[in-house]
Amino acid sequence: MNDLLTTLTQARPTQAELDQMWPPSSRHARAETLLGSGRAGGGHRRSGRLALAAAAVVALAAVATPVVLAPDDAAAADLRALALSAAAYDAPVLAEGTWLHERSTSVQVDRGSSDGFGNPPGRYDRQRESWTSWDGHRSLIVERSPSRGWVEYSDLREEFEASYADPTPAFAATLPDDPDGLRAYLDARVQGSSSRQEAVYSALTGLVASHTLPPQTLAAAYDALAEVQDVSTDDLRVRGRAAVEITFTEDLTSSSQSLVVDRSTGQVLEMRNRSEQTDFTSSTELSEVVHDVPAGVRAAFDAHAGEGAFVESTGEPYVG
Amino acid sequence: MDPVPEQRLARLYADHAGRLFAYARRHGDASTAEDLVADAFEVALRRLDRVPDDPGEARAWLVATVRRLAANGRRRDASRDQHWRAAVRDGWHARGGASAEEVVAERDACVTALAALTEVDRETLLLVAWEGLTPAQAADVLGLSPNAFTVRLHRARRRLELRLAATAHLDTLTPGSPS
Repeated sequence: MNDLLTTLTQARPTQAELDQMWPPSSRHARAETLLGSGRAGGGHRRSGRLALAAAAVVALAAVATPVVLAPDDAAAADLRALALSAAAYDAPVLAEGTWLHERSTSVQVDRGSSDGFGNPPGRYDRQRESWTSWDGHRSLIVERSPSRGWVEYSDLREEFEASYADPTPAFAATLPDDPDGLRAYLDARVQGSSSRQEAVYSALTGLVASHTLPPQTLAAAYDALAEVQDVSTDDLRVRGRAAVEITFTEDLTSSSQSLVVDRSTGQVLEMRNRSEQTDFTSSTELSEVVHDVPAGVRAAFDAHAGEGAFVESTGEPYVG
Repeated sequence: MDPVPEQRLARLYADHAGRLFAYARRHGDASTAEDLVADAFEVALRRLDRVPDDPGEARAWLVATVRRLAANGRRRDASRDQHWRAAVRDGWHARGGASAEEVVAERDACVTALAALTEVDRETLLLVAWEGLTPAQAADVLGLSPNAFTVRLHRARRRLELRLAATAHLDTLTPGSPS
């Protein structure tokens, strides 16, 4: 085979592949929104995975006034119980100057062939540890791939506009902390044509999983989820804890997304996505408020200041 | 320069949106990629005076903007692995004269080799090979000095080639193993 860079360069997508990836009609439609009245909206657009697929459905059957159906009674009861647990749980408070310290492990399993290095077919693992400043404007992230033997450090300092889709602790403190108010806030911002329920579900679970919501707002999010269509709940145990899996199933794409939540605290334990191609699970093993980033971690980042993300090889199989 | 900001933005969009989507697709699913592209052009409109006139430099500026926007998502998303692989497979241009089987084998071998690299190494290679950025432009995107980028590119190429060689070796030892 050629030099790999040459092979990749020769395989660079041409206009034909680019048009296949993002059809000109969709591209032009987005341009009209961008350059037309939607441009200055300032709110975060969310087209939703279902939006494009739903377009075909919409073409066949015009969607009239959205009909909001509540989930089944058992699911609603589960979610309202979670709201009570979340409101009562004495979660750590992110005060000014503190850091949110989180540790998680994610595993993704693809339906595919072996990668040739002894890993099970299409299995990708990652351990992640992060420290996020109370205002959300700095994140120190250490990611390890045990099966591939590397460690990557990222020091993210970008200023960005916080939103429900990119919440910071400071932003989360400004959100409505009652279910009706929170739902109204999101209704005014999420978009999703006939996939609106999925868009609302994603917005609410994104907030819940961000570990940034104050207890009352977290409770409001669970209460609001109780009103979202196509949400179901299941009992299960995770690492010895009684938990609830909150699932939104998308029949159109044969996929589902779910959160696994500790029944007694309302805190997120896992995120799961399932589709015909992939199963992904991210488990939160630790979420705590700390006063500072450990000196050893700071030293590791300081040693490579100015390099952006940097990488340490941890031996085989990563080749340095 | 176009006299009206919207006209200049429209030109930038027509020239770069498709390829920018292909880049954004490596950071998220299709709808996320659309949002990232739209967000990047909103940033461009607000900061039009900072967007270079040169087309190549403008593309690099837009890629850097998408990368920054995607980094916000990275703060809370533990895995983006599935997205870049789909993006590379979907965008892969089949070279002329190769059979469909050869194209798939070559593509999947590259994807497998790229999958063994870190995100930084992978990004380094693809910014040059797929975004078509010069090393200096790619260095800007990653916030590196040109020298540091050149070193990183060299190492990433070497790692990629070692990976590919190892894959080929294993394939010869395992007749009938999938590519």
